[in-house]
Amino acid sequence: MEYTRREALRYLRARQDDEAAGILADTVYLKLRNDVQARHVLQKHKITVDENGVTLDTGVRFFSRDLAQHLAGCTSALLLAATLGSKVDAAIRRLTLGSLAEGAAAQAVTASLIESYCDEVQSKIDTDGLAQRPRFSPGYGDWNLAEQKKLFAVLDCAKLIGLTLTDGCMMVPSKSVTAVIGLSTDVKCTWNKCMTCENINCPYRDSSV
Amino acid sequence: MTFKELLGKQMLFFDGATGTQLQARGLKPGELPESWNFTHPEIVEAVHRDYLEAGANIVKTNTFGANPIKLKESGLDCQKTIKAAVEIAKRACSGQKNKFVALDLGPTGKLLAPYGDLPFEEAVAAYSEMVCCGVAAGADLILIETMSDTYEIKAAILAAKENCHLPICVTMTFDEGGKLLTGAIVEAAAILCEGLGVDAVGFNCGLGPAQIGKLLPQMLAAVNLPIIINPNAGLPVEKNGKTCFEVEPEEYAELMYNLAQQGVSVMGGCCGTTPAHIAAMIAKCKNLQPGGWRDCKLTAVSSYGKAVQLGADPVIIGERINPTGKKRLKEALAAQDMDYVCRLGLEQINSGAHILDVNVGTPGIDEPAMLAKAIPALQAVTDTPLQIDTSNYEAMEKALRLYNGKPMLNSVSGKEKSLNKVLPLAKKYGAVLVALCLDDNGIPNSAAGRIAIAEKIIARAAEFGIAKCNIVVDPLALTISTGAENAAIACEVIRAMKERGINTVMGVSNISFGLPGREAVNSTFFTMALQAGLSCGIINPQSKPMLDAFYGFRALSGLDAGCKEYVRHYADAPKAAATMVSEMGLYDAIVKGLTEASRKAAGVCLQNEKPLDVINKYMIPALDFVGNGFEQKTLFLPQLLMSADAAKAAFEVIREAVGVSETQGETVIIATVRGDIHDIGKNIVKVLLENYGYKVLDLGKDVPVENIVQAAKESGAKVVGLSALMTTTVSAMEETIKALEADGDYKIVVGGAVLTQEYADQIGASHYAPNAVSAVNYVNSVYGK
Repeated sequence: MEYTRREALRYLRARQDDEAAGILADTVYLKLRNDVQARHVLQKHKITVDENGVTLDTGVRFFSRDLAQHLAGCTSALLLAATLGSKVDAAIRRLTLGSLAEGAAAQAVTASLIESYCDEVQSKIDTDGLAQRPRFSPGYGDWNLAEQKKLFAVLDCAKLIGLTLTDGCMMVPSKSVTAVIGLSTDVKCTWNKCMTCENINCPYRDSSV
Repeated sequence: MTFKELLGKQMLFFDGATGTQLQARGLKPGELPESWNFTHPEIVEAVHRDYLEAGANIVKTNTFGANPIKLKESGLDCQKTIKAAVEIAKRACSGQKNKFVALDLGPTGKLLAPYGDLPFEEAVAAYSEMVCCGVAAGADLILIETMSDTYEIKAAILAAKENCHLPICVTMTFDEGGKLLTGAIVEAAAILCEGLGVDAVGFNCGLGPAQIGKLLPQMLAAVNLPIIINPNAGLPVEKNGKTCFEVEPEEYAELMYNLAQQGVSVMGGCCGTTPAHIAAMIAKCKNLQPGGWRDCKLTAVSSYGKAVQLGADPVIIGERINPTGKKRLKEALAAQDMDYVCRLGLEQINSGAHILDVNVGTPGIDEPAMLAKAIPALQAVTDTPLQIDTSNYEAMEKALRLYNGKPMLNSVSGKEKSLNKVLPLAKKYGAVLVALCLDDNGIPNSAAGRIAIAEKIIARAAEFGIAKCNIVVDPLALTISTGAENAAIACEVIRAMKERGINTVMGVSNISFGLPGREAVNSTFFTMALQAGLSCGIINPQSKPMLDAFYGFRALSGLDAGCKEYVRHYADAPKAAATMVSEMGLYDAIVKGLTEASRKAAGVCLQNEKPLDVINKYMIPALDFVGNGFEQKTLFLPQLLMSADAAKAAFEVIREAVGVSETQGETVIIATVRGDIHDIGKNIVKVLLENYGYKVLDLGKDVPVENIVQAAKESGAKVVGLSALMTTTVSAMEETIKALEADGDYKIVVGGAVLTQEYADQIGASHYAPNAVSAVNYVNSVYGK
């Protein structure tokens, strides 16, 4: 996966021309990169989309109108789970203890890394000429976080990549992503991940995405 | 004969995959294999029989996912499932010689605290329930398999050891780089298992025979135990959206034959293997001699990530987490400030410590509770192995139990009481044990007397089954100010132990007690001890003379090939000195976010001004300036945080000088609410509040409502800060606010990414803080500042 200062600074809520913040992010990346143990699991499924949700070929059903809308027109989808591993969490805690600035930069750097890792994994997938829509994850829009459990069961996340859920359905290790990616014949997708999200107060909301 | 009687004497064979076989017979995706113990017992039995007919000696019960934590929402009952599964396997084996039923224990599917949210003892309890049922139903051995987390492995092994006397086998899943999912290398994981007293250890799942073959030498060299390999039929291959394994039976047998000759004792298969694979493998390997036990005398300690070997190259054990004579650490312990303890640890690691000594014993402190807090706190931030240092037996056992890895334990002595108390604990939890050369008659003032005690301890330990490679002798350095021969005695004991192949450890600085200029004596003595063969020096790794002695000795004695380490250490030093901070006032240093400059400036200020004046005249105005800039968007988050770091460094200088209590004002409670594990925002608020002089009671993350209410009541805090980052946890925030309001008159400030003013009003918060500065400004306004 690729580290880019630009993405790290975006998550850090720093200006792109802030040289001190850029050096901070670069330094932190060097301090934690050896703790990154990136893994993923990815499956392709045939799907049926209706107004209220999406059903996989295995019979598993996800309830979310927003997800259904996002996957409208798709007959298959990728299910993806990816994580940077638990040593990254320890590294973030470690850096935060030493310096709040480094801790925040570590959060930002690893957030950008996991996204870049997902992009890289997806770019290597043969989708038979179908285009990949943006990732849609439990917690987005009206897709209830509790539905993570279904995704975790289908992908066997704990066993295969060491990614687990807390009782409150939070992912640990924390720098992780689960997502459904619709496959469609549309060459271009107009979906704009950030600005369509209902979480209008999200600090990372970015109209340029 | 029993499994134990045959283990290591003849090749033994596990069965292959159960899941693969059940799927071939109709198990649907998403359907729990364990449910077939009730719905299709005859098919489960048929799978076992197929493997037994293929020649397998051991069948795994269909209970891989049957732990109570995993079954919670499945509708299946753990106890009934295990009973049914063991009975099916027993039926399949009945009437046949040398066939055994292995109670199969898989992972819980949860990450254990402090990395995840499953408490260690709950994991132990879950596995205990499985073991008790399995043993009652008649299992012959315990197989803990497909494990990818050392902490969970430890929980499962303890559960097995505490609830039965059956043989215990552990097989773990590594990636091609030789790491568990949670990061442990092969050696670290294997020595943990050996320390905890399992009967055989090895590999399963994840990899095929070819890849496991590359990791096998590491395990063979790290432990003495018989080795098990249960690989997949090759690496998984994706075909039409399905996972396939493509190594065919004959090829599998050939690959396994090659591995068997390297010293394996038990073999079988995992995902993708079939009775045909097992039959082909057995046909080829049944007459081979098992590797059995080897003559491995490695002394090593481990954590969840790494292993540190003792004896080959001297090791530095950082001594600074010890409150004796340290006012600031005592205060931190009294305030349960684990962050401070962790920082002391991290500083030592950054300076070169390989292992950290952890001693939290000080009058007026509940040592067992404190050590049980400090060990996981340290392990949450570092994988440097720890040395548990206590003379309180209760604290010792608590810490040994909670430690993730194979710890070093400091210490046992030749005193009868100590031997009787400590040896059983060291054996049970598999520690490398420090043996002090003193007994009920005190410390002998001759080397011969101390050597005799060391030998007595080693012999007594052997009676408990503790190998001498797990004993590290401390010759005890007594000060030369009261006995000129003390250095010579210690060195002679070290030499004598080295001749016997026993490792040594010593607290070096005791040698100069009562003398001025102690570092000169300490570092020279350290060199002498290293020359005599000292394996581990318990020293202050932040002392330059001690590191000079260490790096110099290694370079001079041929331990540092090409003087690489030496050059790295000393070539970097001038660079660090070159970036020496320029002289700058405290206000400017904080505004500019320069930590070192701020630290220095605080020291200068304290020479002429009162601590409170320093805080009020320079620090608070600087923080106000930065906070205003942040609110007006002329400064951004990185600058705010760098300034906070700089102010914090200055504060630490003031605390070291005048004590914590002198600088602390009103109490504020902060917490991330139940169910939420995000704490970045909360941590920022905490540091900012502390910089303004508040006493912050940080309750952590995922905090239950009742804990927050109780802390608010007991502390007398007027303000409580709550954080929640997910829409799902805002309800827990609301509950907490209601409970606090029912209990007293608190001002409650809330924050978190999903919150809005409207939301905050709805759940009854006193103030909505869109950012950390707003939270601090609000607290200041409540206290009239």
